[in-house]
Amino acid sequence: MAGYFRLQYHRLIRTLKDLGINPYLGIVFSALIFILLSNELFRRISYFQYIYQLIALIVVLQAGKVGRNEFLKNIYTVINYQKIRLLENLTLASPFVIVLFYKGFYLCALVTLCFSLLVLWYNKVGRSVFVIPSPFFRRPFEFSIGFRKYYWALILIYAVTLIALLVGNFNLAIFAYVSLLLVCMSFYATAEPVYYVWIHAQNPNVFLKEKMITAMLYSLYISLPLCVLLIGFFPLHVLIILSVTLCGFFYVLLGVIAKYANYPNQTSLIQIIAMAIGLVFPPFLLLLIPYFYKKSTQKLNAYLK
Amino acid sequence: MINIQSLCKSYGKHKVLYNINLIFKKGEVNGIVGENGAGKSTLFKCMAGLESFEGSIAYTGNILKNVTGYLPTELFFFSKMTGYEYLQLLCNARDIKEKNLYTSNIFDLPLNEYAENYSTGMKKKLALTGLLIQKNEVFILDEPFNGVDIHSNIIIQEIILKLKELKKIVVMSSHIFSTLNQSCDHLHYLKDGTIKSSVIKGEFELIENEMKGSSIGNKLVELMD
Repeated sequence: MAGYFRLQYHRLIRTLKDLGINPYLGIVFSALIFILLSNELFRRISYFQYIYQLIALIVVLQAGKVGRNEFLKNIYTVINYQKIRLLENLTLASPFVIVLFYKGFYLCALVTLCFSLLVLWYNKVGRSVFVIPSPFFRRPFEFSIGFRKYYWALILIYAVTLIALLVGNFNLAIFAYVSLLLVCMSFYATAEPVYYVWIHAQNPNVFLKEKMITAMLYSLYISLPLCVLLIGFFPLHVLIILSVTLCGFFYVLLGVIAKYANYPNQTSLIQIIAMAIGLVFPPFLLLLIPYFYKKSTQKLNAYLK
Repeated sequence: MINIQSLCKSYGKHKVLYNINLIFKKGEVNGIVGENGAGKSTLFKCMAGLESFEGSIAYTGNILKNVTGYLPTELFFFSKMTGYEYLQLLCNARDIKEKNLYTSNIFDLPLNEYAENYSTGMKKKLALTGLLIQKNEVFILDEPFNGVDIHSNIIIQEIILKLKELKKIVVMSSHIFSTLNQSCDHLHYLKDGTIKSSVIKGEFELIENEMKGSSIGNKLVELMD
């Protein structure tokens, strides 16, 4: 069993090395960023402890993915399998539990801990026979898959926006609106296997343009009702709403082309940092998007003629 | 016609393919056989344009990769994607305006279910259906019979013969000589990265005999002891 955790440690080190990061520095920095970010979010957002608990639960549930659990069950005895799952869940939950405890949310910390133990017996994450109907089936695959994976986030965002509209909180409504477009952007976060690019009988420019048109069209489908509601409830802020819409669509475009900027590898660390700067400082996107577009066409040239 | 000349492929210092010269004509089915790790899949990837290589692959007609249907040994399907959406994706990729993909469902697959939940054989059938819908000119089939049941095995053989009739170029690999005997016109034996021999239909037994390796002898007993 110790061998299993040693192997996971080696895998983590290798992943960080592949990202071009010194693994030990990477671990220290990750811990620091986690603490600082947690602290900042607790400071800025009221009742953040409940969202924090939800995040912890989502993280812990990742260990319950069906494929890896079938593999573990197959190679370990029942007792050792349960020990591994217990240790994994506790390891994943512990950073959140510690922060909650440190912040004085003792009950939340205890609930998070109990949750991480309760989901020990839930190992069917990721496989479902029930097919969620997707309105994006005509142009697969990012939006149809993303919609099925994150429909709950979209429902949550719509619910938060409606509450914000009813109580007249413009800032919360606009925050939810941006979050919606960021969710659309996240549909393009992972690069697909080469085969799924290779099948296209298009040159890189046409391929990217088609992807961008699809992304824009489907983002519009998802965000238009919110945009109309926002303008309807806050007509005096129409310019801000339209500016945020434009900015959000640029985020989605960035997501599409950044996916291929280091293809077939995932987006590099430097590219991720550049994207983060673009998200915080949108005018930078005007430089970043053409740059990523050029990089993407160069990378796609190897697979598309 | 596909004309492969002096094809070489290396991964760093490790040579996988060396001086491959092959010709694949329209309306012919070519089989590539070889032990595990001989380089069959690498050769197929080079042909498909998925791997860079030295040498040349010439094709008379369109850009080869844009009219090639490649069935890899290990299939990958996205999670939360239905069989129908997979076929739609393949159609979109080649700008094929197929109105009703259900009519193309020759294997009676449950197209409204997630492809990731399909059995191994069903996944293979879905991938194969996708290649057929694309109306490709060249078919590269890496182990098309792996994991499929007897009935589907027969259907795949029928499909290959139909493709031959339609003057398509079919290149396939298999470890099952009976299927190669029924489907192929030519058989090429790939060993250690080079074509060791090529034979025509009726002479496949020569390669089969050549391929029969030495037994594992006492190694199994020693391992289990």
